[in-house]
Formats: sequence, C-alpha cells, structure tokens
Amino acid sequence: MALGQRNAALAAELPALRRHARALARDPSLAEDLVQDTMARAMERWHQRRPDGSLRAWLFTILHRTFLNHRRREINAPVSLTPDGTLPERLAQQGVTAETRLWLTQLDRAFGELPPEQRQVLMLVAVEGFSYAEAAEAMAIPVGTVMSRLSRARERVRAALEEPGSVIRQVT
Amino acid sequence: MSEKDLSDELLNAYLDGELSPAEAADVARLIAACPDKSARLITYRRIDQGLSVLYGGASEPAPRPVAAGRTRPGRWWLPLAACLLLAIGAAGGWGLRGLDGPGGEEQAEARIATLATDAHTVFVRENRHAVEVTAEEDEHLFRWLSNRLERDIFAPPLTDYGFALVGGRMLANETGPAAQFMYENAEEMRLTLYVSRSTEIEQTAFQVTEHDGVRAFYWVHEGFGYALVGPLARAEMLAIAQRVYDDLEGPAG
Repeated sequence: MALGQRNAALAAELPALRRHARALARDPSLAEDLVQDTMARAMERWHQRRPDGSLRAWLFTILHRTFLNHRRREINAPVSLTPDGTLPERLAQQGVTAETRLWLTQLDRAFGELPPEQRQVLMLVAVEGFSYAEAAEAMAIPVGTVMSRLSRARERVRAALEEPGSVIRQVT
Repeated sequence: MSEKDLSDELLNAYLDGELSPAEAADVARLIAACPDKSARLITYRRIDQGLSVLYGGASEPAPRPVAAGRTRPGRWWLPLAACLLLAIGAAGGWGLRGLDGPGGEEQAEARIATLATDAHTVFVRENRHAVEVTAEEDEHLFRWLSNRLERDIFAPPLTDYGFALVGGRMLANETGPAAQFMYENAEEMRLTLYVSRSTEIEQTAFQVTEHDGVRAFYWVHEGFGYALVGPLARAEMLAIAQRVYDDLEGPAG
C-alpha cells in the first residue's frame, strides 16, 4: 500500500479513535495525546499489521496499549464528568428525549467513576463489539481477567445507577 | 448446570455472545428461572446500549470493519436479488423441516428454516420481551448485530405492507451468533427475519418451508443464511419478499 493510501486509511479512523480516546481518558488533552501517539505508532508499525485484519481493531489495540503506558506514568489522571463537556447538547441534537438524556448523563458519570481498566474493557466489549479474546489481546491481559473486570464494571455501573437519587426507576 | 453455577461472569459471557450454543441454552434456562438475574441482564443490556449512544459514535454509519472486501450497509443482498429464483412449492422446497440425513445443500438450507421458524415461534408470543433492542434504537441495533455477525445487516423497511419494525435480538446457533428482526402489523401479526452464518458456501435460490401455518422463505448467500418467517398466506409472503427485492435492486439501495 502506498503512503498516500496508508495515510488516508488512518485519517478515516481518526474520528472513531478520538471519541474512543475521550471516553477512555475522560480528559480532552490526554485523549489527544493518546490519539497522536497511536497514529505515530501505527505509522511506524504499519508493516506489522495483518493486511486482512480490521484496521480499526488494530488501532484500538495500539490505543489501549498506549493508554496503559500513560497510566503507568500518570496514575492520578484527572477525571471529568463528560469526555468533552458537551454531552447534553450533543444528545439534544440527536433527538434524545429529556428523560433519556438525564439517564445517559448519570450513566456517563457512573462510567467515568470506574477505574480506567474497567472503562477500557467496557469500551472494547460493550461499545466496539470486541470478543473477549480480542479485548484480552488489546489490553495484554488474560481472558479470565477480561471476564472478571467486565463483570465488576457492569455491576458497578448498575449499582451506581440504582443508588437513591438516581432516576433509573423512573425511566425503566 | 444449576442455579448456583450461574456466576456473574457467566451472565456477562451470555450477554456478550461468548458461550457455545449449548452453554447459552443452559444459561438462558437458568436466567429465565431467576427474576433477579433476568432483571440484571436487562439492566446490563440497557447500560451497554447507553454506552453505545454515549461513546459509540452513532453519527458514524460504518460499523467496525472486520475484513477487507466487506459489503457496505444496505447492499448486502443486492447480488442475490439480481439472480433471484422463486422455487415456490418446487420439489425439495416443501417438507424439509426436521429432515435428518446425510449433509447436503438442501439440508443446510432447511436447517436455517428450522432455526428461523423455531426462533419465530418462541419470540412472537412475547410482549414485553419480544425484542432486545427496539426499533427506536435501530441504528444501534443494526450496528451491534453487524459487529456480532461480522457482516453488515439491517432490517429492510416493510411499512408499505403495513409492517413496522418492532426491533431485534441476538440469538445463538451452532454457527455462532444469529440476528432476528421482528415486524408487526396493525392486526398484531408478526414477521421475523433471521440471519446467521450458514454451513453452506454456495449461493442458493429462494425456497420455502411450511410448518404449523408458519412459512419460512429462506436462502443462502455468501456464507450467510437468511429466512423471512411469518403466518401470512403464501401469496402475501411472496409479494412482500418480491417488493423487498425490487426496492433493494433500485439505485437507491
């Protein structure tokens, strides 16, 4: 593949990588660092990519490895309530009802309060549709750890949503 | 497997389509018998759906590409429509349901019809739980099932025939995940469209089976089996199927 094609293929994945990185990092500048590092690594390692594999899955794998490295350097990364601070406006534009919007805002908060490794596994499996084996590869952990983290993550979000003061009962 | 074996991890694995069909069937039985686990599963699904809305980029139409050369959304059955043959009532088209015998193309096709008919029969009786994801979240539904089946799939609109999309769900069979879309008309008659991998590779003509008044129109294309199942008269089912193909053959796709 020529360089132009490579760069075009990578550029096409940028929006998906950005939103993923923001959800994961909960901090816009950290998210942008992750995306930049991921792109740089993808270019360096372009020849290692399986030509018949999914480019996006490969990029997410790099992104998650990069995130792990960042985490080792910066254990106490700041956590903001929404990835980019524009959540309610964005949802309103998508025609989501006020009730659902409230619930989603609480979900966003509950998700943001998860430990980063639990956010990672939920993003990969629940949002991106990775299999457990693919998620294990992306996060460089055993499948058993994927299962336990995922199970803890979902349960924790559920518990947070069902706390008194949450609106989940009103909308289900 | 008994109720005490139903760990949280197993519940999650079931939700994520990680179990073999036999395990999934066991787990589904245990969940059905346990209101606490059923409620938890529903909440987990809702959480997953919410996360997809929040972070899944609903404005991006393309699902995660899984292989080179994959067809784009909305075009997955156009090649079939181009060479569609209606073998209604032809020898081999009828009475194949439940046929046991040596493997062959007819048997694989009939297997899809059997799976689709059984799934239809089970889920059209449901009211509150007829579908996992409702038509209100159709984008999410199509993307989710496309990711799981590793194939771009969606439910073609059938409103011209009075059928509105109710929603869809993921099922499991011996080939892995399967998708079921459900439609309903004003008389509360329901049609389902079932899609899963097929053991056959060859593209086949359109065929039909009938069992207890439920008809399944089915075919195999590029490694996937498809079946439209419903209780309507044969002529009506045929008309709907033909109309769907006519629409999909047009330049608008």
